[in-house]
Amino acid sequence: MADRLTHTVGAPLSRADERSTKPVAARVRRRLRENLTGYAFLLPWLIGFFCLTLGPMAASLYLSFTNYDLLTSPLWIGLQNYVTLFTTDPRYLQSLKVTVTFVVTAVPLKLVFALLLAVLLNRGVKPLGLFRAIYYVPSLLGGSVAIAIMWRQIFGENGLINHLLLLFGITGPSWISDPRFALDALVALAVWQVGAPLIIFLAGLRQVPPSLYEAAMIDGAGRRSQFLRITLPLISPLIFFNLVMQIIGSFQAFNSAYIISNGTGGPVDATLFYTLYLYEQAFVQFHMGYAAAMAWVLLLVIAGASAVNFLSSRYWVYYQDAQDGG
Amino acid sequence: MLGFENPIAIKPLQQVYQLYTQQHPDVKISAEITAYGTYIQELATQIAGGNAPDLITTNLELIPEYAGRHALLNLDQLPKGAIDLSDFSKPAIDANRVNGVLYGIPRDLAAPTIIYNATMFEKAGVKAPDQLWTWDEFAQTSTAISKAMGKGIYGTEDSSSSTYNGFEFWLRPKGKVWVNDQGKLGFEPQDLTDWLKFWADLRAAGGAPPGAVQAQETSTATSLLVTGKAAMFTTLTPQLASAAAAMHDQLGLHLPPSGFSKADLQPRNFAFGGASDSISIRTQHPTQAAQVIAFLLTDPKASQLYFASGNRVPCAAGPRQRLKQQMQSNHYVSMVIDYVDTIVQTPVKVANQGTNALGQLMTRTAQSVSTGQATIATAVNTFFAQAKSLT
Repeated sequence: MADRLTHTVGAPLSRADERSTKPVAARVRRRLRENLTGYAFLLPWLIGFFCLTLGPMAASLYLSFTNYDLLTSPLWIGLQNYVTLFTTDPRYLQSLKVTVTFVVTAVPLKLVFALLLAVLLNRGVKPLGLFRAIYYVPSLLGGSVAIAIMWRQIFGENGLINHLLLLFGITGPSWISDPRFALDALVALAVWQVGAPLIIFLAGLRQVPPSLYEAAMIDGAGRRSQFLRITLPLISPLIFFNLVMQIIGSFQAFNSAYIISNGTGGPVDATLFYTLYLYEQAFVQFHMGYAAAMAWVLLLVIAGASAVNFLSSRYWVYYQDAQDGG
Repeated sequence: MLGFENPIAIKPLQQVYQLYTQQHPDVKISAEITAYGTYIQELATQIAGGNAPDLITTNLELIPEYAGRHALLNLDQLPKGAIDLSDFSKPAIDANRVNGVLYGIPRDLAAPTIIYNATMFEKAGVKAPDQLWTWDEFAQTSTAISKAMGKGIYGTEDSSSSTYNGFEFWLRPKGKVWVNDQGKLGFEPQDLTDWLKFWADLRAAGGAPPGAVQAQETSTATSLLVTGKAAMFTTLTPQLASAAAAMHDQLGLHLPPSGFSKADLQPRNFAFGGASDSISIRTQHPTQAAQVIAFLLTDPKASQLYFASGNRVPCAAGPRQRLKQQMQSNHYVSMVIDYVDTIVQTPVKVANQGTNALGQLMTRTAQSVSTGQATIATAVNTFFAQAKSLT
């Protein structure tokens, strides 16, 4: 967007100054042709943007103010859907609670785990490529049905976890079907899929100039102090990036809960993620308008969380380039 | 046409339509048959988009929904004799009526049932009671098996979340129903309280498993019956084949309890079509569509082809008897046919199933009690509060 603006507004003006001898009509024609060529190249993207992104979004915004069941035409009901969400739908509030709990537990755990692994891998584990691949595999398999089914087995009443606990004389609960623990099992699944942030952290750690550590060592700084005062500040932009991406992703978590609870968000709504409830409203109960309202609220929640992140980032994120350049 | 079927029967069904087009070269059928989960979304989208298929597979959940939105053709208006319904089970047909108008032709007969593990009954030394039995006998039998089999094995699965195939039989002796013909709840809070209490007592006595154990089950394949942890499983007859395929033990079919005292007992069980054929109200070819339905359900060769997967039992008596001959060697198919044959001898009204959302509300309610998340009183209040927006 920004590029196109400078091209159409900024660039031709400066050129107009240089070649003020050319006839005006010719210059305008030439400018028009250049712009048209540009838009022609952009056309595939523009069509996609208007027809597949902006159009449906506008439609969903409109539908969120209606009562729409797919079969009869939408009926305008104003803000009623939004009012219902926050006043008379306890399951909606439950889905919010589940999702927020998931985000505030899974995201920090996942980032800490990813950073920890990255630091360990960076400490000269020999076949680094191999280990990197091994830890990345769960993320590749991420949303797959097989993984969620495997998780059912691991956390089931007679699953792997309980067999291990039994070695210590503890009879574990059925993690997935007990409402007290079902969400924890999903958090564990999310933390296990640590690949994406891990790879990014690992790349960041390798960027830290070794000369800084050498200097610190000469000054007598221990490993802990080096990590806290050199590593962390230098990779803080990556922590920030991972934090933003993981928060956005976690708010939209769907697959694992859908498969593990068989699409119900059970037991007793313990894993009723926001998107799962949205899906249920839209495609099981055909409350399309209501689901559209839910989607817009989710968009605002995610935008809000990201805004908070960006505002807070100026206090804890250190950009080496900005420092050097300024 | 657009339809749903179990994976094993999709191919036979397509072959039936191929056979029909071979015999009627002027008719072209493009048959898209998928699993039920994707089907309901696809159907809604196609009808919303104004390109509804001529032939639509429905069931007792979809018919009230789509008939109410004027998407289905009134089948009473078809030319007389277009589909010969004379040897179809009458209650099963009537279940496809909305306000007296017929919107679907039932293909098959399925009935609520308790699948029991006969081998386990024998091991426990417990005799299976008569087919007509009381809820007390059911509880006693369950507890006796649990006691005999020891820790971790239960007389019955916890079926407190079963609606039209469980709770309905608790309500019928009281002259009530799960959902009435207007789609509203047909019972009082006290009835639900009693029902949940019955199951809580059964769990306390050891006859049924703790809530978290039961909640692991999401399908017949993961049921406690199949994994050998429970002797009885409240379900529908078509599940017998999948359960039998996954186990070595000998299985049997038993009627759900049908009263509270010996004097109460009478046949209250019903059999209904798990799938029905309906016609779109927008169709240009109502007569041809009806002919295709008649072909599938009454033509000897076609019905033999379709029902041979053993997945469904024909609603029409003729094809059903022919299937029994053909399937003599298949013990479990014969068992299901005998079971539904007995049931259709006494015509009993088919229960209204209510919406999917209402069924899920019942599951949440029952599970919140069985896993100790809520007291019975709280759960019943929540149920009635949330049911208001669903009925």
